[in-house]
Formats: sequence, C-alpha cells, structure tokens
Amino acid sequence: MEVSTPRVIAIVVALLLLVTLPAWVGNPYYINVASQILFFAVFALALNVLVGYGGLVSLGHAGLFAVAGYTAALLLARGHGHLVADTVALAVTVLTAAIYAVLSLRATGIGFLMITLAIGQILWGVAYRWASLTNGDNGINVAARPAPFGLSLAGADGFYYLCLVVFLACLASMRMVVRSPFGASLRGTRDQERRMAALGYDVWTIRFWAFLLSGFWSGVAGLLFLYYNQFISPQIVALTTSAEALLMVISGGTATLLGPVVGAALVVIMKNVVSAYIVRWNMVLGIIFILIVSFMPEGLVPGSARLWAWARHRLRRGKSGVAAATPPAAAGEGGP
Amino acid sequence: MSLWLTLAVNSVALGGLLFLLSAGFSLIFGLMRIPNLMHGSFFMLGAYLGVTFLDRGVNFWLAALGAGLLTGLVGGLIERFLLRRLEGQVLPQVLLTLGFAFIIGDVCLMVWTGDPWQPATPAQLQGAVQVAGLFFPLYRLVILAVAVVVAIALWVMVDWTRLGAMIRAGVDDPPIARVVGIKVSQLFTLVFALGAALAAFAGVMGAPYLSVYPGLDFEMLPLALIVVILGGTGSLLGALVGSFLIGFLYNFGQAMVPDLAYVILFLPMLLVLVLRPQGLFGKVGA
Amino acid sequence: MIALRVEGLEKAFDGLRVTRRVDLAVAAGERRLIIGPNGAGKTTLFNLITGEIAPDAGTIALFDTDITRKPVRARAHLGMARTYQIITLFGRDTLRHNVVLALLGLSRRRWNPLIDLARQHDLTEQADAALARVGLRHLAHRPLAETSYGERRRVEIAMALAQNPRVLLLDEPFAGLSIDERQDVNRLLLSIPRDVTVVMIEHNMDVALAFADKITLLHFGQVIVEGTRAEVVADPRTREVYLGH
Repeated sequence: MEVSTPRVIAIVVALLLLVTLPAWVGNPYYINVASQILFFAVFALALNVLVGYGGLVSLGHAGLFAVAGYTAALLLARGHGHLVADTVALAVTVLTAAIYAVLSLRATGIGFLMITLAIGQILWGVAYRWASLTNGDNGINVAARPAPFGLSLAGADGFYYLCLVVFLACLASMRMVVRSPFGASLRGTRDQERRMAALGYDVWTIRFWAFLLSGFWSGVAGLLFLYYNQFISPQIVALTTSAEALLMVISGGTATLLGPVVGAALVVIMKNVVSAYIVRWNMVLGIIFILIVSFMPEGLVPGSARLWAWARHRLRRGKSGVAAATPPAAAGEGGP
Repeated sequence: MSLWLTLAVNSVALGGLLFLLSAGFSLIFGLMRIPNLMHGSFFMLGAYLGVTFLDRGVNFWLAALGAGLLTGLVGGLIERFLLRRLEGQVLPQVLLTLGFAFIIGDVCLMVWTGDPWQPATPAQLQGAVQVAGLFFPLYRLVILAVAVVVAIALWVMVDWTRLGAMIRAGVDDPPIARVVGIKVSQLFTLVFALGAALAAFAGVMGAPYLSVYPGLDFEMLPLALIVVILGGTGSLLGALVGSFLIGFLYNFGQAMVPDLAYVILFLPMLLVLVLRPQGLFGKVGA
Repeated sequence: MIALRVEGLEKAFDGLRVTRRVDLAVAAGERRLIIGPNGAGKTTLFNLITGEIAPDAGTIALFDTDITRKPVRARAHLGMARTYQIITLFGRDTLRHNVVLALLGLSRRRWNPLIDLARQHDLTEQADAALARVGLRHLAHRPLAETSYGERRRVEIAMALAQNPRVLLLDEPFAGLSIDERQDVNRLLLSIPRDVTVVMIEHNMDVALAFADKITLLHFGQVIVEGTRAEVVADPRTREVYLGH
C-alpha cells in the first residue's frame, strides 16, 4: 500500500516536532509531561493490541505494568546492574502475561474482563500486603537512572529522548504487526471467532501470542515509568491505573494506531492539569467515562469527526434542520 | 474460646457478609450479564450511610434497612436511566459502571473524609451466647442468621415464585419474554436495585467489625467476583458455598500467613478457572 | 473410497435427542443432499461433522482418518470446508480480504507478524480468482457490509472453494435467494470439480434435487430414507414426512 504525500508530510512534521521538543518547550516540567505521555502511549498501544485488535477488554493491565517495575526495582535494590534488572523484569512480565493469558482466555467478553480484573487485584494484593517482599505501602526507591553508552538520562531532556526512541520503536512494531498476517488473524478472531476456527485458525493460540505481545510492551512502559519516578509503590498497581489505560485506548478510538497515542496525551495532560487545581482526579475520571459512553462511544478521534460532520450539516441546513435533530448515536460498537 | 474456634466463628460471619454482598452480584453479573463494577461501591456507600444513621442515634436495623433502600434507589436509577440504554454492550457498560464507581468513591471521600469509621456493635447485639459450654459472640451469629434468611428468601424468590420465573425467562430469551407480556426492563431494574440494596445492607452489617474506609469498594468488588467465579455465575447455592469458603480462607490465612492472606483468597478461584471454568455449581456450557 | 463416514452419531441437548444413531457414508466425489423439515437436526449434524459441537456417541471419519476428537481447525486442515446458514462474514473488510482470510487460514504464514499482508500477492491473486469463479471479481475492493445478501452467499461459497476442500459442506446455500440468484448459485455448484465431495443441506425438497447423486432424508434426528432421487421421492415415508401428519 502506498503512502500518500500529505501523510508523508504530516509524519515528517510530527517527527521533527517530537525530536526538537525539548528545544521549543524549554521548561523541564513540560518536557517531563511529554515523557509521561510517551511512555503511557506505549502502555496504551500495548493494551490496544488486546482491546482494539483482539476484542478482549482487560482490566488487569496495571498488574503487568507494575510487575516489570517492581521486578527491576527489587533487583536494582539488591545491587544488580540495569541491564540484568531490565532484562529479567521483561522476562518476568512476559511470563506473567502468559499466566494471565492461560487463566483469562478461558473466557471472552465479560468473563475475560472479570478474570483479568481479579488477577490484577491479586498483584495489587502482593504489592500492598506482602510487605516483606515489596516493602508494602512505602514502596521501593531506585537510586539512579541508567546511562546506556555513557549517555546521561538523569535530566529531563535525556530521559525524554529515551522515551521517544522507545515510543517510536513501539509504534513501528505495532504498525508492522497490525498489517501482518498475524494482525489480520487477530482481528478475524475479534470479529468472527467461530468462523476463524472453521477456516483453520487456532483462535486460542492467536490470542495467547497477542497477550504476550501486549505484556511485553506493557512491561517496557512499566520500566520507563519506574525510571521516570525512580520509585514504585502499590498505588500504581491499583485498578485506577488499569482503568486509566483503558480510558486512553477508548478515548482515542480503539483498533487504530493513533487513537491510543492521542488518548494517552489527553489523559496525561488532563491528569496534570486537574491535579494542579483540584484533587478530585477520580471524580473527573469517572465523569469522563460516563460522558464518553453517553456521547462518543466510538472514541474521541472518530467521535469528534462524527460530531463535527453533524455540526457542519446542521449549519449548512440552517435552523430548519429536521432530520439531524440529534447527533446519531454510534451504531452498536460495543465489542463482544 | 480457643483460637481455632474464634477463627471459625469469624470465618462464618465473614462468609455471611460475603454472601449478602455477592448474592446480588451473582444475579446481576451471572443472570443479567451486566459487568457491574460498582458493586463494591454499593457496599461502601451503604456502610457510610448506615454509619451516619447510627451516628444520629437511629436503630441499627432501621439504619441498615434505610441504607439498603437509599442505595437500592441509587442503583435502580442508574440502571433505569443509563445502563439500560447499553443493553448487551459490554465495553460501554464497563465504562459506565467503572465511572460511577470512581465517582461514588470520590464523593464518599469528600463527605466522610479519609479517616476510617467504625460504629460500635449495637447494644442489643453485644455480648456472647453460650452454646454447648462454649461462648459465641452474638453479633457474628446474627450476621450468619441474616445471611441464611436472605439466602432462603432469594432461593424461594428465584426458584419458586412467579417473579423468579419471569426473571429467568427474561434472561433466557428477552424478546420471547416480552412477547408473553413480561416487562423485562422493569424486572431488570428491580433485580439491579435489589442487588445494590443487599450489598449496602451487607456494608452496614459489616461496618462494626470491618470498619469503613476509602478503598473498601475496590477491596470488596474482587471478593464478590471471586465468590461468583468460584460458585459459578448465576448460581445462588454456588455463591453461598463460595462465600463461606472465602470467609474461612481469609481468616485462617490472616492468622497463619498474614503477608499472603489476600493472595491466598484468589487461589481457589485460579484452581477453579483451570479445572472447572464453569464454577463449582455452574452448569456446563451455560 | 468413502470421503465422509459417520457411524452411530448421537447428540442430545437437555435430554432431547436431536441426532439419533445417524449413519452416513458419502463416497469421494459424490453430491449428497440432506433434506428434512425444520428441526430435523440437519444443522446439528453439520456442526457435529465440523466439530463445533461434540457428539455424545459415534464416530466421524474423513477419508478413513478418525476425526471424532479433532478440533474444528484441524478438520479444516484435513480438507473440510463449510458454509453457514446464517452468514458470518467479516463485514468491515473487503470481499478480497474475506477470501484472503480463508486462504491464510490454511497457510503457515498466518502466524507471521513481520510481513505485510497486503504484499502477499499470491494470496491476493488466488482470492481474486476465487471471487472470479463466483462472478464477484469486480467487487473485490468493496466492503462486505455494502454488498447484497445474494452476493454474500456467493462470497461464502468463494471462501469455501478457495480453501480447496476435499469435502465441502453447504448449509442451505439457496436460503433467502431470489429465483435469479438461485440459478446463479446453482450454476456455481454445478461447476465445482468432481474431485470435491459435496454434502448439502436443504430445507426445501424441490431445490437442487437435480444436483444430487444421493439424497438422505432426516426427520427428528433420524435417517428415514436414503437413496437416489427417484427412490426417495417414490418412498411413502418421504410423503408422510412432507405431506401427512
């Protein structure tokens, strides 16, 4: 498939903006917000493999995100190097994802969601209550960020570039998978599970591999989160984190590459802004969920397009518009 | 009284509470297939409301009933005006109930602050009764008795009454049920409100010994979930057995391996998922 | 050579026996028509043969390989393909993508996450060829959701044919079609090469009788009559099932 010229220009401009961001933003606070957006975008892209392309809504991904962070933090605290800690952390995360998958893929739809939720809560229980291992509520500190190839990541700029490189790698790999035969197989299992089996596909195994892929990138995002804060505590394992990730995926629009990225930016910016003025982030999160369900069930990117088209239609037809009295509620895009 | 006996009594009491919590969840999630992620919030909201009533000197049972009614009303309204429009759409239902769970949690934090509340055990239910030479704390036994009464009432309602038959018909085949004149949506609102009221009632019953604090909602939700997965979705008997199993596991786990007590709770669920995914009492292929 | 052999097949739902001791032996290359009134257990029989439901008793063999315990996907790889009575296709995707999915299902490439599916030109060409066979080549780029019911029926058949099956199971391919469309589908079925064994379910006695070498009449889950067209039509039990009560 050929890429159109306007698209190439858009991609080049976006890349240029991203690469030069520390220069034109300047303030380290905002550069840090940009880093947060990037690693949460990686997390959202990871979750979107299951939610968007697999039709499997997980509410336990905070567990995968945190397993990576905790494993690395524990190993670092015990004096291991960054390379060892991060490699083992990713391996443990993928293994955890495999356990998640084996248990949760016994069901689809609501059952899948509830099982992932329950496993996520177990991991929260481990982080919070198994204090002798995880230091409980006090969390674990990480003394320093790594310095790969002698490049310092201690400052906001350096860490931003690490996040950018990882984010771009994630986006590229997601694009490749989505367009591959495996991606087509995964989408097929989302749309017509029974038919896919009759066509010779191993539905369970396809979903299993998708889960591992999702787990891997969740782990990568979790490591960036750990190094960003240089601290991890049970708070990140709470259901709120899984819900926020889901909000990122859904608000942007599932089953698109850009949707989760836009969603991550929205949620991170909103969270930073809201937290600066009021403390009621959970309330805001809840209200957003309800508003999305009520007005834009298909996500912000397609939803805005629909509302925009509707508004233009109304303006053109003037006040007499009878037909378009209400914005058409999105057709049952509910997922299985 | 020996430690083991104390643990056993506490386990039975917790089991009773869990049954009150998860019976409604079993109907809503198991029968109606609604992923109600605010069920723990109903428990917590009910507990806070009950605590407030008790603070004003309201009789314990009236407080529990009042909290149940109010929370049932909240649940019924949410179902009637928002959830119903999302029939059969899992993801929007999840978002909506999760959204309300966050809002309820935050409102509770605003109104009742972050400090834990623990009402005194009602005066007439304090003390112990002597059975076969052993003393049992009265309040624990009362919880058990209430759970048993509710279990029987629910069982009679679902299996023996016209209402129960209509619920089952409405779940099995809503269009046909509508054709034969059953008002399915009103019925679902009723069941949803009932489930919310039961959870809130359980919250008040549990307040004197669990206390009420922020975060209780998302601690109780997975417990209801475990019970229902264990027992099999939609099975009241399963919910009953699952509740007591979890009650015992929690108390004995707490006493023996306090670090892992919370994790141990999930082990039977994992076993059931691997060995018998339909739950202990669920129907095969249901 | 027997392509499909079913012996003593039993299935009950909640005590209701929907398949009762069904025996079936379809020779390689044969066209077998399975008829019977509504509720005779025809689709259940298909679901048992393809493995979507497990039998309570009995065996199923494909070219003398016992497949009774094999999962649905394994039967597809052994050369079994089917169409569905209720159309279950990929509505958001193009006709070409629908057929490509059918081809990919039997290819090892379906696991590959590293290559671009759109660049697998051999698959695209095969898919277009399959669409051409059913006369839909010109609609290859159209999303399935924007096609007519009759066209979707033909896509179903194109997908099944694209799999190059040894045994093809057709579940009421004429259901809901206009007279013109029926003739199109009929011509299509007649063009299926003779080395493919075809088993077809029809509710209606009159449709596609000419197509069949042998006919099996199913009633209340039981084989009542089996034989050539003339034999089955002449049999009094057939008339009893279809006319008398």
